[in-house]
Amino acid sequence: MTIQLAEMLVAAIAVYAALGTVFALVFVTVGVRRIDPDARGMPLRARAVVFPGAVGLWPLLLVFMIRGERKT
Amino acid sequence: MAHGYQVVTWTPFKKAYDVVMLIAVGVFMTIFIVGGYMTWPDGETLHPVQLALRALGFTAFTLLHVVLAIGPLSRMSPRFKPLLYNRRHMGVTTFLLAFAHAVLALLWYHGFSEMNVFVSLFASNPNYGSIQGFPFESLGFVALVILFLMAATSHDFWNANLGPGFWKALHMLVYVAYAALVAHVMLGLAQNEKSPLYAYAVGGGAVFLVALHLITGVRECVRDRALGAAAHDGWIDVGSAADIPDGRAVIVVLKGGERVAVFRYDGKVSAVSNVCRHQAGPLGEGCIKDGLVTCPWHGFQYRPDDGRSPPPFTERIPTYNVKVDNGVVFIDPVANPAGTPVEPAVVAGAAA
Ligand code: HEM
Ligand code: FES
Repeated sequence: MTIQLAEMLVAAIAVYAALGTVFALVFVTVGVRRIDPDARGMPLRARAVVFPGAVGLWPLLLVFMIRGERKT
Repeated sequence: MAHGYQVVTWTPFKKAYDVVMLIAVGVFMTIFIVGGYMTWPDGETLHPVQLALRALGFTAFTLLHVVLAIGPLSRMSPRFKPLLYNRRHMGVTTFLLAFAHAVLALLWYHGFSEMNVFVSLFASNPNYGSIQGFPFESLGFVALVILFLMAATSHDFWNANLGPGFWKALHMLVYVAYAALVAHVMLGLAQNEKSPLYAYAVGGGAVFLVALHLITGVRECVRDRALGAAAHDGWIDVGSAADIPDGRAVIVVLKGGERVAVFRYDGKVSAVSNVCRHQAGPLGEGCIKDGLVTCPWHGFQYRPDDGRSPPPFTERIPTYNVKVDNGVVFIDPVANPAGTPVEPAVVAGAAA
């Protein structure tokens, strides 16, 4: 891999992770309720457990949140 | 069950297994490090960081073998079933060990470079076209990303919200991660290690896992064929009611591959989907407890006659119409919508 390509890849991953972190913060505080009614009284620790996954899978959750439905 | 989300239910049983696992991890790493020191060839330089790096990598890789073996082992013998409960904690531990290994590798092999460490990870070895010199660290990175996604989505929240299909697909990626890791480890060894001992161990581990999966796979195929019961006026012959142990089920595989659990209890027969709403556990391998179908994996329960979890829980599974004719059980292969009440078939003479 050329240095230039590696730089682009790393930048892309960094942007993805940064957006994911911002999204995940919003998601675990207010967003979860929209997709999962069971999450209403979710304890803080459970929210912390959900956080890393939200950073990794944010585009998917964003779609669920916009749809505002629970997918089961 | 989906009754609000708890972090983890720390039953004493689970705790004991987790403690055993952590101790085993500690012992394994200690033996690895001490053994590494003692067997290191004279005259070659060995840095403690390098040994720690390897110890973390090998412990993570070994634990991944255990995680992957639990599934087929518990299908072979119910003795291994309790381990299924702890599989996700083992998976998360695998990720954490691998993560520590990767962080050390980045600091040690790339931290002193002029480049950004991550750029250095992908670009410092440009031999992507060569097998011997292939930049095996990129393969480790791919595997680490997969292990992260799996660890991060191991909580029930994700299973419920991603949908069981997507969740299962995501977790099937573990086999991709495993393949990438075999390559990562083998290529790393080819470049850094003279003794063939490690390579034999890795090869042996791979053969063991493949054989285990093949054996359980073939067994299941044979059983499915035997059960792939002949249609009978649209109804499927499940066999004699007397052959179903009381409070237990037989699993019937329909043409499309759907599995149905046919339970006998209190002189009655009911048929429900074999797939648990929690993590798709095999309900037909469970039993009737307190009049409820109870999942062998984590204990979710469903009423056999309508496939609904008792209040306050809200899970529902599909039901199937059943009839008993001359002691032979038949099911209608067309599933009813989840939660549909079905009159259980009465086994003649059972009242006596
Ligand atoms: C970004 C991710 C990763 C990086 C940068 C990385 C880097 C490295 C490096 C530099 C070595 C050679 C160490 C040496 O021998 O001096 C190595 C070896 C090893 N890695 Fe990784 N690794 C990564 C992910 C993983 C993962 C996810 C696992 C397992 C779960 C793993 C398991 C191993 C094992 C077992 C070895 C021993 C083979 C050897 O010593 O060459 N690695 N890794
Ligand atoms: S799969 Fe977890 S209880 Fe059934």
